[in-house]
Amino acid sequence: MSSWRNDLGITARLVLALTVASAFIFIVVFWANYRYTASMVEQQVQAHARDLVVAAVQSIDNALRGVVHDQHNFVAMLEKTPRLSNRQVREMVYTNVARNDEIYGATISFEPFASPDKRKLFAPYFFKRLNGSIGFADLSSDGYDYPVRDWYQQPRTLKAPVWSEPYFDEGGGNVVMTTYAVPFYRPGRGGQRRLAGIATADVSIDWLGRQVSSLRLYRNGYAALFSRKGVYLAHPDRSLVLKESIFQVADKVNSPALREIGLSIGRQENGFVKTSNIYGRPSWIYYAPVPSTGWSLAVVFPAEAMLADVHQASRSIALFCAGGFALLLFTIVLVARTVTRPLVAMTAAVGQVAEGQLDVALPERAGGEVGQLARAVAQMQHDLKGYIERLTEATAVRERMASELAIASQIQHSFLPGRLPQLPGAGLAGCCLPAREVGGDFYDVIDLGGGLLFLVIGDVSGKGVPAALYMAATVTLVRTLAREQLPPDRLLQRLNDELARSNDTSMFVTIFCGYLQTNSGRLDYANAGHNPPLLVREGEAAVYHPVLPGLAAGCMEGYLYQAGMVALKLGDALLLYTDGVTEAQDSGGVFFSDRCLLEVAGSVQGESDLLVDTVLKAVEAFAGGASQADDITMLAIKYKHEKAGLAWHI
Amino acid sequence: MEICTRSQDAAVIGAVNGRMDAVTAPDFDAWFSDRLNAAELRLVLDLSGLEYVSSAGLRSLLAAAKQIKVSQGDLVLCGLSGTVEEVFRISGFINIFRVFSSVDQALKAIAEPRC
Repeated sequence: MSSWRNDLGITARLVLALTVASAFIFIVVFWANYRYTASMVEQQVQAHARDLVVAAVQSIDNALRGVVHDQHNFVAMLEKTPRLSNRQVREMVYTNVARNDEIYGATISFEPFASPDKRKLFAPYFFKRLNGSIGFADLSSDGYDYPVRDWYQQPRTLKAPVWSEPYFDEGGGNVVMTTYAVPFYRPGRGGQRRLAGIATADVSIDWLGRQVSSLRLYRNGYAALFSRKGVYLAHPDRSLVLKESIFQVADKVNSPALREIGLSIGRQENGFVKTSNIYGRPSWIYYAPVPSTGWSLAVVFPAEAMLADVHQASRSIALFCAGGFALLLFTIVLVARTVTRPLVAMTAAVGQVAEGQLDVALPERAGGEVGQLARAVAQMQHDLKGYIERLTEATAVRERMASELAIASQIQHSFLPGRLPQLPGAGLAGCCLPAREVGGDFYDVIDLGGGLLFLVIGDVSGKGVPAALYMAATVTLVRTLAREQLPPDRLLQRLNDELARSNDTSMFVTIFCGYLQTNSGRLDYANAGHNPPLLVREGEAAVYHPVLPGLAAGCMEGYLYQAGMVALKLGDALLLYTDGVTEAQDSGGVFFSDRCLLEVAGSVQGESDLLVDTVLKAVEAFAGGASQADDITMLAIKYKHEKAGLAWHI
Repeated sequence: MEICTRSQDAAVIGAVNGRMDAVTAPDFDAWFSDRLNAAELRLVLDLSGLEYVSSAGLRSLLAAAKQIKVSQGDLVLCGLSGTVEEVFRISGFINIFRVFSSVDQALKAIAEPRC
């Protein structure tokens, strides 16, 4: 994963987050506003369309009802005055046409032989000419045979008034018209009403078309009038009028929605539909029936034009939004920088502090959280300074002490024999491993000449520097006394008295020392509270040589030690050791023990250095990872007669 | 290391348990110092619970013995066994302390004025 986001500073993050959030909010608000406005416009248009259609339908219906009303009055008058002459009938028809603007033409057509003069057919027809004068036509003239025409047959059969499907009147006024035909009756024999004929009034649809066209529709909207069967009665495109129906057009443009409107019109319903109009443009269409005739009026608004305002408004709003957004962005950047400036400054300062520049000045004027942070960091800075100062001092002290200890260690090391004397009769090996830098253990071998060796091993109580100091004093004393070749018991008495005389610390030292005559193997020794030496004799099990205990030196002035003697045989090895060997512990606190030492040392058949090495390795293996608790010191003597050397001389 | 202290027959018995080495010896020194300050000068140390004593421990015991002698008090030991007894024996300390096998014997001995 790329970590570019982690690399961004807090300012950039803040700006980015606020920008994204604001952009999202702006877009949502803009979208919601657009949707809301569009729906408002739609509702407005729908309401407007409904009002418009209702008003237009009302107007058309009123006009047609006027015709219906007049025609009914006319028929009622006709029925009430049975004794009319043919001339009177003609005058009535003429007057009807002349007096009514809506009526384009009219006739009273009698049933065969029902006219006043009982002639076979009588149907006087008056109509308005283009110039306004009134023309006459006799429908009973040759060839027309009106009783079989639809306009006559329909009301006759239904025995009810009928509006005809609109039609184009050729020959007459050459106009599109529809006819309202009302049957009229005369009293017949036996008081029964007998059908006497059909009175008709023709209404020009052009007039209706003008009426429809006069509807004031906004933004390229237009109106259309349909017959009950869906035929266009009025439409801005006059080529459709009476020639096409909505179903044919729907088939032509393959629009199920238009077909559905056609069916709805047939059911005399009203509705609001959003679909493509006959020209394929998305439109909103509202339609409603004209009750008197069953026709339907539809108004069509192109959606695009309707939404043009919304789009215009939206563009403006988008522009405002963009402007506002830019302003907001600018503000965000400004505020973010202002808000984060102390933090950025803090970060830089803390970074410098982290690099160790503790004197760097922190931004102080910041308030709030950053101020708290600044104060906390200042406190930390102060504490750190103090701590580092103390640490530096402590380190200096420690380094001085370490250096002194190192020197002390070197000095103490110099108290131990650097190189053991090489005598043909005795193989010597020793080691001393202090538990700390300096320790209280020591061993020494002094060649006193004439094949006489002084051996000593000792262990000062405690560890570390006090033990080391005590050890130094002891070793110095022992060496001095040994060079005087004092017997071992006397030597220890002198040493003990010296140490005990001024011993406020109650420290003491256990010592085993003795003189070995390398030509005979005789060892005269004395012991001051030290562990008994281990005797490894070839072909025998190793044993601890029983020694008189004696009191550790330095405890009590005037103590008397006793001397002892052991005669070493050829091949014998004597191992002197301190309790750091037998009391070495493993991690569980278990001691290496006398028994283990006995086993390990007893298994060694070889020179003294092998004996020391073997024991040391066994102790180390036993201790494992456990830290060394006490100084470990050993001195091994392998007694060998100088026979080999003599043999070589011979 | 733990030291359980109790008084009996005008003596104070300190039962030392655990290990007495360079680390714990100062605890014993402090305990002993408290006894001196309280003028409890007849002390019996019951070492039957002592598992191990190092040379540092011996040094503390020796120092205590010397101090109590100056104050004309008495410090006796009892209950030595195993490694501890071995250490006392090897170092010769068994000879400079009055050592008894049981607390009762130690109490008895401490009650008698020393010759």
